[in-house]
Amino acid sequence: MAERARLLARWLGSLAIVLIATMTVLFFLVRLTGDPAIMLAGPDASPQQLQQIRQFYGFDRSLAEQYVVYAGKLAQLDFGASLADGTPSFDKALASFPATLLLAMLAMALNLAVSIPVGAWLGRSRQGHARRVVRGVLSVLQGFPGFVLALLLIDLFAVELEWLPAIGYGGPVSWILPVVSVAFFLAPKLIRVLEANVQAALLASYVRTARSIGATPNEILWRHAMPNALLGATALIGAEFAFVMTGLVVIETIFAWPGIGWLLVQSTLNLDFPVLQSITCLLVVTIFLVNSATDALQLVLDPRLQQRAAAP
Amino acid sequence: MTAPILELQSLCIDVVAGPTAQRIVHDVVLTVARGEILGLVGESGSGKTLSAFAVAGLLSERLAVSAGEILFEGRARSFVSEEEMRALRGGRIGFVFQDPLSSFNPVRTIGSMLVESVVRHQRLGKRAARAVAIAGLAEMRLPGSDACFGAYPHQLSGGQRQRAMLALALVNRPSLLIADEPTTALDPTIQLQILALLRRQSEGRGSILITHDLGVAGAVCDRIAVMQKGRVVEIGPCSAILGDPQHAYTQRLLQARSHA
Ligand SMILES: Nc1ncnc2c1ncn2[C@@H]1O[C@H](COP(=O)(O)OP(=O)(O)OP(=O)(O)O)[C@@H](O)[C@H]1O
Ligand SMILES: [Mg+2]
Repeated sequence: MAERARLLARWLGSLAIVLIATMTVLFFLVRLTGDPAIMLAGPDASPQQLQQIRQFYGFDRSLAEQYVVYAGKLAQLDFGASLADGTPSFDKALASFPATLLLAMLAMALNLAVSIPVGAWLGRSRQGHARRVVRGVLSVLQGFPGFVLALLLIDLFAVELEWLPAIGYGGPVSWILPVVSVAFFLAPKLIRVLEANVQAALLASYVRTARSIGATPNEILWRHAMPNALLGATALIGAEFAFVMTGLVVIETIFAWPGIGWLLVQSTLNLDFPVLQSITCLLVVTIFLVNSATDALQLVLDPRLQQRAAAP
Repeated sequence: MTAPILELQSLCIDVVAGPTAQRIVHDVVLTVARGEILGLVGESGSGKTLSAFAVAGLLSERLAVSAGEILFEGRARSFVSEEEMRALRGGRIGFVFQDPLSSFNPVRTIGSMLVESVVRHQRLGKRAARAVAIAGLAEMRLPGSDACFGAYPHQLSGGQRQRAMLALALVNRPSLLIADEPTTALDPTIQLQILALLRRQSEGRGSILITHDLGVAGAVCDRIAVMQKGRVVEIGPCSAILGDPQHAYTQRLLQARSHA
């Protein structure tokens, strides 16, 4: 129990350090690149607005004082008002989070649902025409930039066939194209890693043990080789999840998906620095959480990483 | 005398991967009777493991039985389908592998392996199979069988892993047990314990004990077959092989032992 509390404390400590470091970098970035008031207010701000901003952030005071004020505001999650509409910028960033989370979850679910069986099949099948065709298709898909794939899918299913809406976030049917675009962008990498892992696992000595107790080829693949193959892919799965939680700027823009990536583009175009700051803060925390979750998952799945239990 | 449990008739094993087949086991002839332990002795690379793999149908794809016949419980292997072979493996033939650490799946508990085997071969439910598995571990004198049941291979000592391997091989009461160097990596005390266990478990079934140590073979086996370069060069009762070796290679093995 004490051990657990200690681990939690250490974890919270590293989260705090990551956050403070990020916010400090942002603090100096704003002040190093010209007049921070103009940066924060945007180029079209009136002198009156500029004055307001200078007072709000305390730019008229010393750097140390400014930092204390800045830190105090951040501690209350006060990142200033959005320049676009005056609403609190952190709330705005937070509001875009669920859409990104939804897209990420669905895309990763589809990614795994496709990659695991295809990777397993490739890992165990011998050279042959079917295998060569599938691998060729994967190579092509892997070479495609994600947004090209998205545009092709829109062109085919929304424009030509008119089966699906071209832009998303209007209910499950509209989710299909964005989710498929993201999943098909991610799947080839995961499939390749799983293929290699399954191949290696099937050559391991424990597979002979599985055969020695009468396991069928399917049982050997799914019950003996696959757990090890998946274990070797957790790092990639975690990295792909972190990517979809933070890096879907283009896909979200194409599909007008009101997530973090979309907000990032909007705020950049508006030079809405408070919102950008809030988003940065949110993304840093997200990455930190995803990485922690990946580590935890690996620990749960790999008994060798757990502390040597009291041996019987 | 009753029919032997296992009979190898001029067993040959070839490497079939290359353009020309290359023979690595030549005309092995031997039998294993019920209640008997046959020692398979020979230097490293003499073909002991491959002969045993052939018996259990565990040869890798690059290797194949190219001539000869394996008669197990009177049935010729040529007439046994792959599906029937799976029922034999783990059910009628138990195999103890040379290296128990790499032979156990690192992410599977010992217990889950035993339960899988019991469910498959005895057609029991999970719960009943669990009881059988724990009893099987206890029979191998594994202290704290309940804890061992939930243990991962890396959590056990070398001796415990070897006992767990034996438990897995014997849990369905096979009529043939093949133990491939079960004591090589263990200290002398544990070696003796494992050998005693093998002796005890040899009752009512045929056993093959593979070892490169004539002393070990002499201590527990009823008969010994000496292998060299893929051939059985000498076979006979322990006393004859150890007391009056006919083949020059066996004499050298014995000499090497007395020097050590
Ligand atoms: N897959 C394979 N392909 C080609 N040759 C092989 C293969 N497996 C084993 N061999 C060869 O067959 C011979 C017999 O190997 P085997 O494993 O049966 O020896 P062993 O008597 O068990 O030796 P050890 O005491 O070291 O375990 C060896 O010379 C080995 O190089
Ligand atoms: Mg061997």
